[in-house]
Amino acid sequence: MSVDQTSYSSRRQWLLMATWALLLALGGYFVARTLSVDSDLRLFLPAAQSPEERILLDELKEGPGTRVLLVALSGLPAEQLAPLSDQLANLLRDHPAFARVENGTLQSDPTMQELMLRYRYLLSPRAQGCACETETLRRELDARLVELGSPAGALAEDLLLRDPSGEMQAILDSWLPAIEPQLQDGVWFSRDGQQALLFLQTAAPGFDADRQRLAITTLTEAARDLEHSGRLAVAVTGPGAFTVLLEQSVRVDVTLLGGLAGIGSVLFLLLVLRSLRHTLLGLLCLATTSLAAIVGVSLVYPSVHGITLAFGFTLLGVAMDYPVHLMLHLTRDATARQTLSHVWPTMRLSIVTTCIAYLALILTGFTGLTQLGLFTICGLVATGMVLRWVLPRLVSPSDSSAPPAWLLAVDRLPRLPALPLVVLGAAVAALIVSPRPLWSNELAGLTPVPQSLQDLDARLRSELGAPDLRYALAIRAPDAESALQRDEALKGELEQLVATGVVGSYESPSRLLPSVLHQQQVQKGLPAADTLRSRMHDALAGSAFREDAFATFFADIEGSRTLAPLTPAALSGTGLADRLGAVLLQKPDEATALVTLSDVKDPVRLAAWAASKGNDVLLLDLKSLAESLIARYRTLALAALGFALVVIGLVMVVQLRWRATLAVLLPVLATLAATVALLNLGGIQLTLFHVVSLILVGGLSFDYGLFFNRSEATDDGALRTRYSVMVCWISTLGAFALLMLSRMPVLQALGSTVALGVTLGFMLSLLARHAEPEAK
Amino acid sequence: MSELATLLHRDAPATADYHEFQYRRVLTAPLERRGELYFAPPATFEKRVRLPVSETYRIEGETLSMAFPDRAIRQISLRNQPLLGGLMLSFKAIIGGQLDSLDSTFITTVGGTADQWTLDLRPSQPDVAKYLEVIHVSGHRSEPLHFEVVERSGDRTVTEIAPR
Repeated sequence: MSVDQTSYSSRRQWLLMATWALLLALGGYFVARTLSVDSDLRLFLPAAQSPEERILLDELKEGPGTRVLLVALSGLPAEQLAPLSDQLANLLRDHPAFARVENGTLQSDPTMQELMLRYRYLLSPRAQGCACETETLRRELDARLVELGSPAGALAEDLLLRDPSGEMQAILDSWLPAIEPQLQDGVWFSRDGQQALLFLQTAAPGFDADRQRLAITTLTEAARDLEHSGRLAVAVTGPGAFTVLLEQSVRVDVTLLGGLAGIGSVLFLLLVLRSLRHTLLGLLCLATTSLAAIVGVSLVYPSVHGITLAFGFTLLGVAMDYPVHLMLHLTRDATARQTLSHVWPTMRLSIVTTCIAYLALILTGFTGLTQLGLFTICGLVATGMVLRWVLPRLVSPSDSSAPPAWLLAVDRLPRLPALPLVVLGAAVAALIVSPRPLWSNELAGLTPVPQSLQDLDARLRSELGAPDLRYALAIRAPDAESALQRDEALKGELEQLVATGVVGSYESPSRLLPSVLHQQQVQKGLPAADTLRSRMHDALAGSAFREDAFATFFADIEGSRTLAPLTPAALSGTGLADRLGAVLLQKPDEATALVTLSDVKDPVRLAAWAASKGNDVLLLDLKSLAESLIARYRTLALAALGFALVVIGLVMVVQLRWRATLAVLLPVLATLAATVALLNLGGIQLTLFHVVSLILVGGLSFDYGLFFNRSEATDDGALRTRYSVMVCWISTLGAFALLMLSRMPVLQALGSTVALGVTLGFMLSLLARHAEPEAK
Repeated sequence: MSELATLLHRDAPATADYHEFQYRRVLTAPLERRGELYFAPPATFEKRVRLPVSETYRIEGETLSMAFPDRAIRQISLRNQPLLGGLMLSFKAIIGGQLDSLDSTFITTVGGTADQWTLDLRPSQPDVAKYLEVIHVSGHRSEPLHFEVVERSGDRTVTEIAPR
């Protein structure tokens, strides 16, 4: 071949690469424009199997609990914080991003006030709807007289006369939360008096990162505008704040550390490949892999989960290894095509088996893992195609580099075929005798939120008197009305449970809004105009009140007798709708009333009582439900992995025969067991994120084994194989060691697990390699 | 005004008995209440009702705590309660000798001599003026002795104070 031809073909190759890069850029631009990223953690939870689990997952999904934001203002003296709290609350109340803003100040909500006043006899906690017997009226009138004389009496006079039986106060009292935060200078404060506290409910669900970010930005900017000295500190916690923080931190960490890792990899590749063109080709391969992965997932799903992206890209790092293997095997004595045909069978086996492993993730049926599996498979298939059909045209044997001479020393390392078995045995034994639990069963273990923020959230919750929601009764019925009726029917027995000390207290949805049936019964019991007038006449005997002062009261009772009863739908837009929505979950064909139970002292008797009530009353123990969900999730994920290992083993037996299969698989098993054992020794309890990391470790160790156990035709080939595996290991180790610097516990866990695992995998595969090159 | 402020100024806690009559259109007879007023510098004021029932209203900063027999103490912020805040704070300001704190809520008129002074408070905020016409206060030297709160409706509350 002449020099001219070479330079012509080289120019053509550069042109091809430029075209490739351009296509990728266009594709990347299109994907970036249309990609919708989801940050709903529930995608990584399994589907509900029992009604109890469904209620839990529904709550996690849309429940009002996910919309709560807790805010602490600090950094200034209390007397300055209190008015700031009021001003901030007033600003936020006018903003559409917030459905509810509470800071301890009594607010007059005229709509709500009017509604309560109108329906007070139907909403009253008193069985008859009104304390309207002569004797009770007399007592109530005395109480009103005292109230009239109080400092607030002048203000309340109209209401006192309109509501002499005191129904409004009775309703308000029955709605009071069990614990109220401490009030200082008129607003809620933490017990140490250092932080002014606000309780917010956003209009958007907690996982809607964009709208939550808008809400939190609105809040922090409003606070900054109110106080210019810069000393005011605003802390926000709650599901929405976590979503935003998670999204931001993952993005920042992935961008920063990913960028660093990228630069590091490029430098490393340049150093190892000693070719700018091959380095660029490697990057083009990686970009193609990533693009294919994203496109593949977005074709199937409307949005891609942030965790899928973050983990997917790290999992796809393995795809970068294949071009490196090809390039390091290139020699001047063979064409690129010949070299590829030489290493391709090993790569194909590696890609196929890795795809099988990720297929197992798809089979688990959890949206998050399915996405992750699909993402990786699409990326791997694209890599395979690029390797098979594109790269051989573009790589140049003349750019090949020889392995460094010191690598021969690696070849002289002893072969220890029994080592994986010993390590496997030791790791399993260590895990068996370990006193530390292997798995974290806490739902919180799945929360990628830093512990300090979780602690702050827990403290604010307790300061704000948010109830301990571990236990609740779920009353299921075809519709809201039947659920409320059933709830009312249970009231007597619930009172009995309180009286006998089984539970400390309970809160029923029907206390917020009685059933229509109950309201109608109350209406029937309200006295007719004549009856009421004569009772009032008797009750007023000897009272200081003038008899003609109560015209509005008579009119209201008469009007209440024919009011259309209040339904949940009629409450929309009022503060009561939010509170009711939290405990009365409505779907088109069913409704669930949640009775919250506080201070449960005898769970066993409680459970026995609930079980005796029939199928429509369920006792929810949210803690154990969440734990069993996680455990089942893990069992399924591990079963899928076990299945994948068996299938991979079968594929390999067909391809490689028994001895070789064992030589590859044993180090993988030993690596996984040893990684888990070392993590356990380090006091780390495994979560979903560790499982994902272990999958990657397994896949990479498996590749190392495959390549180390290749039958090589030449010494040089064997040496190049060792070299390329080592290069792959070092680049992976570098990237994941960087990830350990992340502030996000999840990324730290991923980084340390993979860095530890691949190192073990590399060492074990190397030491246990079964065959010396055939030609030796 | 500043002379009166000097007269009323207090550095030590003070307690006084009071006797109150409310004249209301909806009542056939005046409503009578007795108890004591208590002030501790710089910012604590209590109205302790003894008769007909025992109740305590306590202002600390801008928080009003209300204690009724057989009920949990209720706290509200006076910042968002202009009328109640105006009434309570006017008592607190006069008993405690902090007349400058009246300026934000009332237009004040001082008359008479140090031995027989009068002070009229007319609400300057529309929210308060909707309910409250005027508060007449009179006293002798450092002692406020007589409050009369006149509401727009014509209802009146007269409070006689007896220093201890």
